[in-house]
Amino acid sequence: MRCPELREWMSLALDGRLPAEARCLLEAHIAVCPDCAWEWERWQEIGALFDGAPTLEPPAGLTERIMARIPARPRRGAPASRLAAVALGLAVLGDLAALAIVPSLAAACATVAASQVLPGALAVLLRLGLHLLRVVAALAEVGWALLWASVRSPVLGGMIIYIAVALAVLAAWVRVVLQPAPAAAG
Amino acid sequence: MMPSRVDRGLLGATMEDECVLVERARAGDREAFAGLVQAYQTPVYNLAYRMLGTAGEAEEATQETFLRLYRRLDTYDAQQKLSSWVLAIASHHCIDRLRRRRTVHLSLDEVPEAAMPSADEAPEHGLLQREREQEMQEMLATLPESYRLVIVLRYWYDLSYEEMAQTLGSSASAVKSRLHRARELLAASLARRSAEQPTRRLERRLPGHALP
Repeated sequence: MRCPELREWMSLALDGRLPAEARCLLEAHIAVCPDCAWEWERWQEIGALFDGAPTLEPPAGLTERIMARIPARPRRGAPASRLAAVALGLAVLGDLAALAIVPSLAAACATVAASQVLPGALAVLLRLGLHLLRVVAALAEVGWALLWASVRSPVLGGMIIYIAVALAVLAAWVRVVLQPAPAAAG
Repeated sequence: MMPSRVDRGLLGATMEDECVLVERARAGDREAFAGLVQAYQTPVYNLAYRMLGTAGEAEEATQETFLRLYRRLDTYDAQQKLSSWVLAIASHHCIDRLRRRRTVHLSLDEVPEAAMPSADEAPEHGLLQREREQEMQEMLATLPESYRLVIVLRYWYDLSYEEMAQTLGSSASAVKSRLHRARELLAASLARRSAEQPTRRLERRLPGHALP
């Protein structure tokens, strides 16, 4: 073992990365080599000096001064979550709109039934069907909420499923409500 | 009482909380970002002070580091330790500053601008501490930037070779040899100092007073 290699070992030893056997060899060498012993002593002195160094407190008010330089306008949000927020807004609006037209559609059904264009039994069935569909729609919404809560981040995926289900339910419902008219005409 | 060091506990802190803070800061939450500043200003300031040597520059560099950090929030990869990422940005900024000022000559007498430990120490202790402090800064100042950085990361932040390599974007073996070389340089400057020391020490201890 020559001194330059042992100097590398000394550095490893100070960083706790020298295996025990190598450490024994190193110590044996230091005991007989004054140059390496001198170096080893200096390195330990340096370590002691730096290890004892205190943490300096940053000047008072540094956080405030930093925050004062941070732009006040909001950061650009992550694109995915912004899109999801827009989708959520649209879905809620769509749902509210669907709710809003329920009374008028129901009224239309009632008019059709009252005009006795349809047999009474059919009108009753129609109303039952309407209620059934609303129940299905509610179940779909609960399902969507569960999905959204269980899958952590893909808000967007959850929203797309939700919108698809809601639209499908609405379309089916509207079709059923509108169907009796031609039947009555015939 | 000796103030506590910038230790692993401070740097490693609670990972989950940090992730939440980063997420919120990304979404534009200023309070969350202020939380990150609060958590990391001490490590960043200490790194900057050890690298740059004056309180004024350390503060400037700390501010700049956090501005950079804010602009780069979107590039933060949650796989990486937040502390490594913060220290990497701070390290690169300090190196940039040192390179820029390389042309400007700073004599040793101008360097120590009071950035003293805030601890309420006894005056004699304070004097001794200040002397040590000055000695450390002078020795660090003799090292080339990249060597100074590994020494600071090793002794003040107690980082492993691998963590240092990650922070500096180099390899563990490069870190290892830089540390080794830095120690040789420090030993040489320590030897030079102790050769000149006796008179300097005495002068420093009795500022403005003539010896009897």
